[in-house]
Amino acid sequence: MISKDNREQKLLQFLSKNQDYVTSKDLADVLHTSKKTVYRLIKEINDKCADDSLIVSEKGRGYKLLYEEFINYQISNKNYKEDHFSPNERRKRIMEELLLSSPKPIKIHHLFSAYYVGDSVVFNDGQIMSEELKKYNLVLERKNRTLAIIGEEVNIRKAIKDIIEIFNIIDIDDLKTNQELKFSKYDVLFMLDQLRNIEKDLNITIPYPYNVNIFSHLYILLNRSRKSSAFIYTDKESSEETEKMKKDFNLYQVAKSTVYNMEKYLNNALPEIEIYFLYQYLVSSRMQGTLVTTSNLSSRVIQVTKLYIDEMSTRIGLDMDNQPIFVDLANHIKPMLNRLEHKIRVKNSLLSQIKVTYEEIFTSVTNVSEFISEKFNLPAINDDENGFITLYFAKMIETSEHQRPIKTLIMCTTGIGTSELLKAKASKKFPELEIVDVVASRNMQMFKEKYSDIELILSTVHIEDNIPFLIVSAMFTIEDQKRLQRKIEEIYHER
Amino acid sequence: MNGNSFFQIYFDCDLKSKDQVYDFISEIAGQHSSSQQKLAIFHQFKEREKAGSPQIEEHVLLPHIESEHIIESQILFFRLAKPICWDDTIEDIRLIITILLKKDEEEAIKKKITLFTKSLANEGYLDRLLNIEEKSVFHKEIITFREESR
Repeated sequence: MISKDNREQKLLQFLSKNQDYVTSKDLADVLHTSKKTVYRLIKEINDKCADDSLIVSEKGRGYKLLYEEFINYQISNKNYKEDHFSPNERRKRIMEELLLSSPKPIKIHHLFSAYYVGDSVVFNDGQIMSEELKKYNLVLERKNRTLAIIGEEVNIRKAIKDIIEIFNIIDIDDLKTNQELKFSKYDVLFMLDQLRNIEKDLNITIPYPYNVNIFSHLYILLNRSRKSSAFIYTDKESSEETEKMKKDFNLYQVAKSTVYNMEKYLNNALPEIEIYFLYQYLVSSRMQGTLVTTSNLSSRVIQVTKLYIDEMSTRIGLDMDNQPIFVDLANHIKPMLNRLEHKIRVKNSLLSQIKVTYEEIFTSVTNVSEFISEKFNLPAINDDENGFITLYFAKMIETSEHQRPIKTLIMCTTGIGTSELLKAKASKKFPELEIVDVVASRNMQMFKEKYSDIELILSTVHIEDNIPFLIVSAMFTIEDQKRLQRKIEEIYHER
Repeated sequence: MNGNSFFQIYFDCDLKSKDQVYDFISEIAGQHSSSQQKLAIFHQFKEREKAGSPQIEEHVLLPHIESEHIIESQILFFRLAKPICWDDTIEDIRLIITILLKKDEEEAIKKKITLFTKSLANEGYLDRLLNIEEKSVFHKEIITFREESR
């Protein structure tokens, strides 16, 4: 049994995948529930969005998602917090406060007073938060009516980053003006300034989401230092690592001067290791403007990239030799390997969208990633990373320059009536097709011999043959075009 | 009527059903043939429809056959006086363009027909044919095509 929230999610996802109407029976089947529940779910979803319905229904056809409204809904749903907090949100907010102040204890009364909850809820929340914190090797300590989170600094920051949802949705360009965020305006301006300096000093641009990632890192550092100036890094970088960093002169200088600026802004000294920490973020970011060519990639990066491409080409049936994808992907893999090694996680806010849109590629990438991390002895490659990698392959498929056109015959009874019309319409709309001839159905046998490498027959009349054919109406309706699109995908897939 | 020219235009045509249309077409196509041959043409059109709908656009049909009973290849235009219901699934038909193709027609003629059907895919062309109110203007539209294709 899946929970209600989950069902809502699943229902919305399923509808968003289908551009057309979906019957309530199909929806019930997908969700393993009754038609009545589907009806109720849809009503709830529609009631939730204030202005317009998200899902429209039509008698006899079923339900359809209004895509644009859906996108807007998704955005607004994330951005605006209501005054009323769900238990989950309450725990998140409390945890955030505790994490930022760690290891300083905070009075339970202070933490919970805003939520008007009883002792049993406080106790229960404590249990749940403890469980959650275990994932990060952190301990929730309860002492004298206070709570405190105890653990290593690296783990605390990691937890902060995961728990504070705001980092998933911030848009760097939007930060200065966005009222919804609870960041201090001065802090935001200061940190944006730092980002700009980094870009200027290195003569690069740091694209999304890496810019957000660095921003988050600086934000956390700022707040950790303020709320708990006592935080100590117990882990020390190895001297070997430090040497390596110092050799990377440009990045090291930038990291150093940024930390120095932070110290000035905070009016507080920061431990030396912060430079190393920020440096790791910089190395792990993709930078535009310094596109590395194959010559300065390590052999490991080259091997991993090659293996991704090889494995993916067998799985999705694409010939990717000599494709620009190699340099592109290698430029992503390089910082990715560094991220994995230093456990830096870049949240992929497009992840759910990517999963829906490129379901198949994503699954393949996930499998290949597992294989690769085993083979190269890497830490597990998470879904956020898989999502990014998916985009590289999706981009290649979508641009599809590499795709050899599908040899197509067009057929009708005479070979000069509707088929010619169809040819004109189809070649305009589907550049993927190479229409080799237009023929009469009675001559089919002859043409099959003449064009033995035909991959598709587009026909306005029924034919009996083992070559994939698609009957379309001479009107070449939107429906026909969709079916042809699917057929083309099928053929590409089978190649 | 336009004599025996390749394009024939029937404007404001008072045909009311599929059978009437096909009957009329087979009369023209088999002008100099026996009634048996006319009947054969009639049936061939009906058979063709079983294989696939002749509709090419809203309000427009393009029935076409290739037949040994056809003596001369032609393209016929019927602008109906009133929209007709063609069958259970096709309704509100206002323009019928019929292609009659002689069996083993010479390449030049075939090419001409091909060129014409292609032109139907041009945006706006069918719209114009559907909405022109004067027969002479309609005529001109077809002639323009003919001249361009020469």
